[in-house]
Amino acid sequence: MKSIFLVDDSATMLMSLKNTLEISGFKVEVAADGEAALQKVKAGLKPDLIITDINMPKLDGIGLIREVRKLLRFTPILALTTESQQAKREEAKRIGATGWLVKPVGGGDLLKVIRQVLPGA
Amino acid sequence: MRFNSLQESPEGHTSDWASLRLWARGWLARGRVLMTLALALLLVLVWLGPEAMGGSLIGLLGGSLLQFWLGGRSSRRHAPMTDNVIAQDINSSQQAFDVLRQQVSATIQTSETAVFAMMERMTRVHGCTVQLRDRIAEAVGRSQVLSADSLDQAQRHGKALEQLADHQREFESLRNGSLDRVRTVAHQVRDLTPLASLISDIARQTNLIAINAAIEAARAGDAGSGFKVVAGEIRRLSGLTAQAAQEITQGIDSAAQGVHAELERLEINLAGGSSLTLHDIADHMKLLSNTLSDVVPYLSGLSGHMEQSLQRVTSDIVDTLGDMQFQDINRQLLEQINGALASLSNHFAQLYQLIDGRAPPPPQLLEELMQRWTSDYVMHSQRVAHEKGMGRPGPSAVVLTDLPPPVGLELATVNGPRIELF
Repeated sequence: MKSIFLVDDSATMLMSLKNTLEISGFKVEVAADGEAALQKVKAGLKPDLIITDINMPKLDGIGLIREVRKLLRFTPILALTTESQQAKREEAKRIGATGWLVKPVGGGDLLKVIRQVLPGA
Repeated sequence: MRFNSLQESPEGHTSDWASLRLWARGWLARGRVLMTLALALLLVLVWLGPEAMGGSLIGLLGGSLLQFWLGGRSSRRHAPMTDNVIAQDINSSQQAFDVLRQQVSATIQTSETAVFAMMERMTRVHGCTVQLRDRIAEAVGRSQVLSADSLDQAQRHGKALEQLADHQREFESLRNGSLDRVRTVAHQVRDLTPLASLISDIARQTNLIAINAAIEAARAGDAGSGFKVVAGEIRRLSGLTAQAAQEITQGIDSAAQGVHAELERLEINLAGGSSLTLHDIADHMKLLSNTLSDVVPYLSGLSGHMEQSLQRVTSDIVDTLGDMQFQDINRQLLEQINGALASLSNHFAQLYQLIDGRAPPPPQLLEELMQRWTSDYVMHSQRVAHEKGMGRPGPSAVVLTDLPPPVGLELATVNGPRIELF
């Protein structure tokens, strides 16, 4: 069973995505901001995929991607955000994000993307 | 429509009229200062007495005159700037409210679209569950019929098997009886065979004696003529005896054939009974097989239908969970609107203080404040709503993805590919 780490400051987002992914057979871990997420990764969490929001308190998604990429070089990281600025998208790409998804993303579309970045999932 | 001069306000008032109102407010402020001074003098006179009144009066008078002079100077210096700021902000206020109205509209649109999509999916889920319920009810009914049929067939099977067992027992009994009888008859036949042979020997011996007697009678001449008749009669009896022995042999053969025929008949009867029972059982088995051949495709079809329905339900639930992301979008939209309203409220409070002459102009014009709002925007919809509120054409949407945007959610989503893998 593949594991996915969800990072979002919206409890609704975490709940809806967690349910969606668990229904689809994934093991899910969550964090409510970038800093908490980074702590979990530093503590040894090694998910198969990370899905993170961009605009978050404490440590934003861009900062999280930058820091996580130092620890997990090959783990795919998807940004799932309302942020529409092209500059942020480019920055995320530059620092090692795997993809950029603009909310709202339908459950079916999200699962297609996940299966693309996680072959065999 | 924007107003960059003080010649005319949106309501049609002239700048002279506005200046007159400001001038009157300034003199009212000065009047309040003079009233305060008079009240202070009265209190000093009451509490400290006439001897202390001189010094205090000089201090109060000096301070009040200083305030009076400074206030007038400040008002005179700020008056044109105040007029300008107020006029510009009044001009911009309509746009500010339009921007906020557009933001609220975008929020409502996002909510409505998501809720409609969720309702549509829930309606589909309900339809699927109703279909499933009907199919399950139909399956239960059919299963009851099949169970009844199977039970009936099982009972008929039982009866047929009981008949077969009875028939088998009867067959065994008959077979044993027949064998005993056949053995007895065979034994009797065997007992008869030497007797027939003995009779044949006697007949043959008697015939030889008759021949010898005839010869001796011929040799005796006339004296032996009577004896010759007796010898002839004995010979005739010997022939009859041989014929009787032959008939006995034929009777034994006939008896053997009768026994054989009886056995064959018995076997045919027994085999016919078994065959009939087995035929019934075969028929029952065929019926059962037909029933099962109906049941298996039916159950397979039912299983497939239920699997498809459950997949549709799961897909709709997953998409509905995705639609719940609208709450996060609306939260961010409302947080921005809330922040804009707070800054707007603060700005107007500063303006009221400016009009009252109690504060300098705000650090920025309302137009500049609105421009600052844009730095808080994260969604394309916010920028589109802002530009619409400002009365300008909105930023163009660039869609690079193969996936179509959700109907009605363009404002909330589109600015570049919705989904992009790097």
